[in-house]
Amino acid sequence: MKKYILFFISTILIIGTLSEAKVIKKSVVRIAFMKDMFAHVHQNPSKYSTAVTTISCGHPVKIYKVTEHDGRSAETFNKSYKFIKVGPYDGYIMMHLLSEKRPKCFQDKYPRFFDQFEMDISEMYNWGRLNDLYLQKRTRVR
Amino acid sequence: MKRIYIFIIAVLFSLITYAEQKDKKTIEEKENELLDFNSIKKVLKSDQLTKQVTSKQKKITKLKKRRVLNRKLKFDIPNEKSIWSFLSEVWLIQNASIVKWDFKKPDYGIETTFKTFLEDNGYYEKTIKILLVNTPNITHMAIPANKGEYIFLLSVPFIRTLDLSKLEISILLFEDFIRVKKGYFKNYVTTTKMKELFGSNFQGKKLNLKEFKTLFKRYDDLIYAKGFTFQQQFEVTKAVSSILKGNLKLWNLYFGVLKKIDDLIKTNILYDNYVKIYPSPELQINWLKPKRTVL
Repeated sequence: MKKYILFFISTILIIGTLSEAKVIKKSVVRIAFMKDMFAHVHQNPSKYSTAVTTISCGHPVKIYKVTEHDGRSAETFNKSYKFIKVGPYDGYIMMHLLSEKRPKCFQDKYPRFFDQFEMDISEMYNWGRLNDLYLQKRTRVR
Repeated sequence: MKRIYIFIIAVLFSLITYAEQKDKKTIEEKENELLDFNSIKKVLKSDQLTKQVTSKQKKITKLKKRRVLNRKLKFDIPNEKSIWSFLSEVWLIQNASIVKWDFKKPDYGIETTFKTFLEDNGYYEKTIKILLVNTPNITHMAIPANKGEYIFLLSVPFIRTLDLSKLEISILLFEDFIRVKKGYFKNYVTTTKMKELFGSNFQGKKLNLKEFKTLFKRYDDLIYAKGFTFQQQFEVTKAVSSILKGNLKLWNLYFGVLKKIDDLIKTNILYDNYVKIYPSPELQINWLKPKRTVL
């Protein structure tokens, strides 16, 4: 009887470890650009998750497509986020902050005016946080 | 000996890179500097190349003009259509510790309800940004933003104390939406000097940052102390009422929200400043009540 129980437990453990060891592949699908003033790239797909880095308007990001070992796409639970690569960092960013084309950024359009406000790093971080915390929507086209 | 060689190479390399950096002229301009067309005028004429010379010189003057213009454009100050979101966000960042917008809160879904509310009332292609704040000092307020964009501040303690539904919150935000559309906020914070700065250029001058500081002070003044006038409140109340009258359920809700606020400010000391900002819910209720006619 003991043998059966041991066998049963061991099979359960093996199945568990196999499912955990699922191979997940990530490949770059396209490049997008940040369109708001500043934004955070998060560790997890949540606005309250730790910020890995802060990026400014016009910064290019590589968007990943995550697939499981059998080729099925493994989407994130929070679909309003994209899994991206920025420089050496991998992280998540809100989808509405990205644009397919290079945007006309305020900083680039009015560089000297923007410089006059002498934003320090903490203010840039706060700006990214502000964009995270906005509850943003756009009413539909007529 | 080796060190001396390395030093000489490094100096030469830095000189070359400096020269390269300094010399950012186009090929045409460099050619123009090398050749003095006036000295070979006769040769050019005999070779029938004068036309080409003039076209080349025209091209160079065009390039020079464009470069001067590009340099000037860098000193542009945004115009009224594109400056307000920047200014409001700078104010929000500078006042982050007072406005207290950086805090964790549950997802109430207010933005979705408000979006539907606006669409139902015929407001399309509008970007709404709602920022929840964790202070009773600001209850609800729309601050200026770029064309087609609206930034709202909404106090979580305020909506919790009033126990407002999402639709009631939407009505409150709609009142702010109408108020900001009427331009009372912008008119109050913009001084005449500031108006002159919008869309201008400050090349060769120093940007008058004092004016921006006064603008932000006026933001504080309006949001925390002065608020809106009776006349402005009357106009807003009447405008909201006329829009909502098409849907009696919404109109009744608006009336109910004003009553709730009126009760709150009379009983809760935390919100006694509300009347200074929005004078006054009691009067608003009176303006909304249908007039009794004595037969």
